[in-house]
Amino acid sequence: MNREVEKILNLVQKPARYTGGELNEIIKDKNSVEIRYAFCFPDTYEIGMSNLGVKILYSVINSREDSWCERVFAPDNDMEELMRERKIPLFALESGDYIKDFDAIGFSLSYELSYTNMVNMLDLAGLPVLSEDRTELTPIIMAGGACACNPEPVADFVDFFQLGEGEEMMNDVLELLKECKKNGSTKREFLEKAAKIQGIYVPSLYDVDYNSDGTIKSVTPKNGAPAKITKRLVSDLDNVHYPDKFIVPFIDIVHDRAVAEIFRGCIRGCRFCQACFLNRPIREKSPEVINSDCKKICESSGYDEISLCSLSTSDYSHLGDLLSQLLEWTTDDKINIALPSLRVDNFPEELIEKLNEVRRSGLTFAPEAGTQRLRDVINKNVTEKEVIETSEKAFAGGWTAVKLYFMIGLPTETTEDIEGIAALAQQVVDTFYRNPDKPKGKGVNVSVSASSFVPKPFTPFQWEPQDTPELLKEKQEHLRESVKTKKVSLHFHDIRVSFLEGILARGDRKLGEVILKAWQKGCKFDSWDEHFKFDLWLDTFKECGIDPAFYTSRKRDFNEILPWDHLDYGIRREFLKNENKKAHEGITTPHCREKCSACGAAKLNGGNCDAMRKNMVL
Amino acid sequence: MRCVRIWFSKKGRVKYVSHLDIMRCMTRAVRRADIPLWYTEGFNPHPYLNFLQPMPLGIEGLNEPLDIRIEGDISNADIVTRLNGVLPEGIEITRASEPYMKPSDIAFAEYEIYFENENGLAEKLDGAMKSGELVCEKTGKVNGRKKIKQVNVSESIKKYALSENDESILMTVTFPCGNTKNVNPMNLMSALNSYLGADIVPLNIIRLRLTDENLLPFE
Repeated sequence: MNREVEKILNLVQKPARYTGGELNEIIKDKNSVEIRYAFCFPDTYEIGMSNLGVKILYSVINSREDSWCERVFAPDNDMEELMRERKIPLFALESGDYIKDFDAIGFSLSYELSYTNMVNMLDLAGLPVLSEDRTELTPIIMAGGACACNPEPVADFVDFFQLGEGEEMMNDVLELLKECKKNGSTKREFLEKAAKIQGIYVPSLYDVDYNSDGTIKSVTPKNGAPAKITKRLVSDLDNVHYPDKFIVPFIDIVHDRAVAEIFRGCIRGCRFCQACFLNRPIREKSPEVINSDCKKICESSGYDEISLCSLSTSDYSHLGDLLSQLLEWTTDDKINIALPSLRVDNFPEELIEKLNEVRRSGLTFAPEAGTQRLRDVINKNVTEKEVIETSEKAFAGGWTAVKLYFMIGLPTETTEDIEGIAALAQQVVDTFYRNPDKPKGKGVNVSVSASSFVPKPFTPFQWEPQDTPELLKEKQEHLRESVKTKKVSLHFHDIRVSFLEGILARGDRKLGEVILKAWQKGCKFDSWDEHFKFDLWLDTFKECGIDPAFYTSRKRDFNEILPWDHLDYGIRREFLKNENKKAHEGITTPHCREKCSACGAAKLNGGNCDAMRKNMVL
Repeated sequence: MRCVRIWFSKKGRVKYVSHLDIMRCMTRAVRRADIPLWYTEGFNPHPYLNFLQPMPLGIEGLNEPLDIRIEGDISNADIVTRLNGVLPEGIEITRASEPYMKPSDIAFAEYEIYFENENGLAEKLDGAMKSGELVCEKTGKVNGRKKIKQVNVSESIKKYALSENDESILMTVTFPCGNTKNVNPMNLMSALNSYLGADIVPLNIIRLRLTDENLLPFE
């Protein structure tokens, strides 16, 4: 390890965040690879190491003999201060080498509030933060993840984006980069070629013109770039690369366990949920493959917990089969199985019993809204009866704590809906006390977490206004007053954070200047309450002459060109528009297994969608 | 069920891994190594691992003991080989033995501290070590409350020696280490730096071994 780095490690909190050397990290001979790749996650080690995308792509890139992928996370403030003071540029964990000398740097953008961290990391690396100021071919800067669906706010910083799933796309990118390095191509030549790879979006190849009211007039491709950029997806999850080894961190991270992905996409179509629409069509992995993934990862890591990962676990069609296969060996090995993202309407009783054989983990339900009317608006097809019945089963199974997730600020919301949240929580409390076999001497704890709704691109609510911070504040207060029992604990998200998230989520290229200036003023780690500097952000908006309300509280017309309209995630705009209209009429849409609603995503997968288990009419 | 005392070394960058994290790492390693462990018999069965003496962050260790409980047939030599096959770089099991002494027999620890040999540093360090006035601040608990107290480090130096060559200075020092009294090289470094008004960062610190009351190796 670099002696300069070592000198400061004793002076910082949790130095093991910066040393690498964990079990299953991959070390290669740097002289025998052609591409050195720095995989950057713009948040702390604990968060980045918990991200499944990081694990998958780390493994994908390192499975190539010609490439070495290393990890880089955002240093915490104490470390950054010392690095800047002693002029130590950002380095990669595996080799300790400076990432400015790498061939490619990729950022995983999972949430909008990490944008300033990305800019900060480029600067810490000693690179110009703006794409146009980096003239050499390498290091080329790319970004992917959920935020790539509207990358316009960070288009000034990143050379190109990967839309959709990276497993196959990453290989195409690396092949091209290798070839361009060999031929001595320029950065421009590389980017023009990259733009022809499906899923690659090169923002500098598109001119954006605006109307006088600030909305977009046109987006014009140049130099042969495609007019529409279509996301990439993996067709066959059984045969796509999945890591058989997870790096096992020394320090405690957020999700420190084996994770197996069971399917992609979601059949439910909740109208607020971006992940659902971005990841369609449904593609399931077979239970045999998942079981073998889990076995390999547990053996190589020593983890004693497996988490089955998807957007809605109980919608996996082979869940019972999978659990039987897993329980055959996990019980003996004392491995716990965690099932996140269960739904209240199809939570099977025998599942609870099966899981009880091992250890008990927490129980979380997400009714999302307080009244049936509003749940119909957002298409969360869950009834009060189902919530109560499931709680009943859970309490009978011995659970004493339940978490309920809600959102406030949803379209068409009234005070009645807010009061409904408190009423539903109260009903869950009452259900506990109605149980004749409730454990003696134990109370119930219903934890209600109410986040603020942020409209997101590629959802039916992408045209909707977001509640103003003032209104959200009122609603939070009203909810607090409506809760009458101490058995219910309330948790809110910081309204200011949701406000900024709302601006960035549906932002356009004009926000690039704001992000740059806010970062220069010292904004970073915006998703961390203790580091969030809202006043600096407001100052910056003012300075740049940009009204945040243009992005948040404005209802968009269906005819307006949205900043992400030139990106194609498979979902038809017409479908989203229809869903929006139905929302306002309070009409629900059945889930994909009941009836295909022709969202359009299957066309990217040769017409196949596992929700229907047969080819669909295109 | 039988108790096995395994001995491990911790070298290189893993020295920045905290005691708590080394514990978790070892727990996972014994699982990966498929060692027939004895599990506690509670609602939440877990393997029994007892680290006899915590390691301060940033220090290498050569002979660190760890007691585990085994259920089933496996030789000590097998335990060593299997564990070494699954441990991350930097942690190595050196041997496995019967626990001959009680954990409470641990009384002292021997350390080596290496410094870059800068002009006059050896004399300065030697003077400071012999001054009898080395004091550091330690956070301790008084009646259950966190409190910063001044600790005289000089009084705790059981054994001390200094040697130098062209490149480096080697300080060997023995401190109390155990349940009742505990001084570690990090305390010494902060005491030295405040005494000398300096900002010295040692090249490396190594814990050589733990000993009993009579400075005989803990076994």
